[in-house]
Amino acid sequence: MKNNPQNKRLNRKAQLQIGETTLVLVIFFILLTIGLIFYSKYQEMSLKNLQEIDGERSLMKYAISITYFPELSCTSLVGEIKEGCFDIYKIAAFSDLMADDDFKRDMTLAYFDVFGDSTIIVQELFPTQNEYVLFNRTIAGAKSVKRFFIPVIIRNDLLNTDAFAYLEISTYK
Amino acid sequence: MEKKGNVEVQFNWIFILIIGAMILVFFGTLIYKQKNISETKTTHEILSKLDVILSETSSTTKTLKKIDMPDVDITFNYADGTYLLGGQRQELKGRFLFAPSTFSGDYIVAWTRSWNLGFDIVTFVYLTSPTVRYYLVAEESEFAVEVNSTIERKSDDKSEESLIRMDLITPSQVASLQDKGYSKVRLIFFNQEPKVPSNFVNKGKTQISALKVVEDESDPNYGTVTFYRKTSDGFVTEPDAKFNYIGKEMLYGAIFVDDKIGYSYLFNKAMDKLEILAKIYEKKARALKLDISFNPDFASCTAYPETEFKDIADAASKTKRGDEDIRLMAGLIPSLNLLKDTLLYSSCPQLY
Repeated sequence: MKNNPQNKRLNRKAQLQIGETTLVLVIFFILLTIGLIFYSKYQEMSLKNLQEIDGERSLMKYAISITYFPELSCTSLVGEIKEGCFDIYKIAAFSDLMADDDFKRDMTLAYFDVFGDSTIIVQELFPTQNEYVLFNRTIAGAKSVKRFFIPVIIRNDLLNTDAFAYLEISTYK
Repeated sequence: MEKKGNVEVQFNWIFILIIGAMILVFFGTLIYKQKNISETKTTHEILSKLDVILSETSSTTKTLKKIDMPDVDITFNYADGTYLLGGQRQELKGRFLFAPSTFSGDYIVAWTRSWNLGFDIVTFVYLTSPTVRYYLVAEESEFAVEVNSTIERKSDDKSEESLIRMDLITPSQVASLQDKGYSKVRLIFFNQEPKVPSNFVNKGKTQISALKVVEDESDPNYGTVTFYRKTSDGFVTEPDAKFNYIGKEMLYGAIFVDDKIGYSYLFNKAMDKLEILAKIYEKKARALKLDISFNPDFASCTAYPETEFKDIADAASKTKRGDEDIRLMAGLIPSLNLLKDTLLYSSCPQLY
């Protein structure tokens, strides 16, 4: 019985069939695993993209919120903040405090939470040209730099004049 | 041949079992990963929307907003300046959010007020939810009545629903307060020692905390707040749980924040802002005085309060370091307002 050649052939055929099935399954799982890896990588990337887009959106919101800061904005006679208007005396004082060696650290600490790694500049365009640096945390060799520009008015209550300017916000990553 | 057949049949079953287990593990992992990713995505979307809403809210004052939310926990970690929603962390980013340490609910309520000491300093945002209940406990206190009437309950959309669950009660009513299943109950005692209502002693899941408010007799805009937490012995406090407040908006902050760490964090940040703003006004006053000296049209405009703002900046700086200079600061506010009016009536360039 043992040495029956027909049995030997059948045995080998069965072994070959099992081997074949195993190989097919192994290949199937390898392909499935590769697919899963690609799919999860794609999901992770789309999540990262979403986070980046949201980061930019939220940055825009912060940028706009600067124009409401009482330490920079113009106020009406009843003390209400005027949107998109900076008081020339306030931005000059803010810029001075940022550059003041004794107070620079306190100012940076207080505003780093809000602005992070960014540079915020008010560029006066007309009638005169001036630049006021409100915050400066430039990152040398940053991977990406994003810039936003918001048009603003610079008000001088003493001379009763308005100047055209824009707020330039650069963020570093 | 029979033996070999048996081995083959057994091998087939083992083979099927292993492959079956592998398939189950594989799809299990796939579902688990997918679930995690979709949860992270949803939480992130909620968090970023909430963040944008809170940023917008921080730019407006005197608003009461209802923000619909899925019923997830929001936890504020003031110690590291962040808040967590569904496990995802977001920075406070310089915003003044006064909120209970942990809360949840179908919606959250955001109420805003500008912290104003005659001049706007910053917008405070007070957050709460319908699962938090507040009781103001006072005996014939005009100040408590005023606080109760100032805190808005209903939004502008003409809805009759009371968004902030707050009531003014007398001390005798405290004993009979019922546990109505709120996740948090906060009792605010005006000028009296906090007592735990008998229905809340050693039972129920409700977290109960208390605040003692003592307003200054001459100026209710200034006073002290002491934070209490409940133990088996009743309400207890620690020596470092007593703080000052200046301006009613800061007192509202102490009502909505339920732990001393949160209040201390926001108080110090507020003092930072006040110091900066006072320094800016000091510089502006000096610059205006100088510029006016060359302009005869404004010869009468000499009352710019440069020294007063310098004193406020110094007092804010000392207060951060723990010195008791808040009384001095509170004392300067009326004279500042007087000077502002004088300048306004003389048609001088505006200071603030």
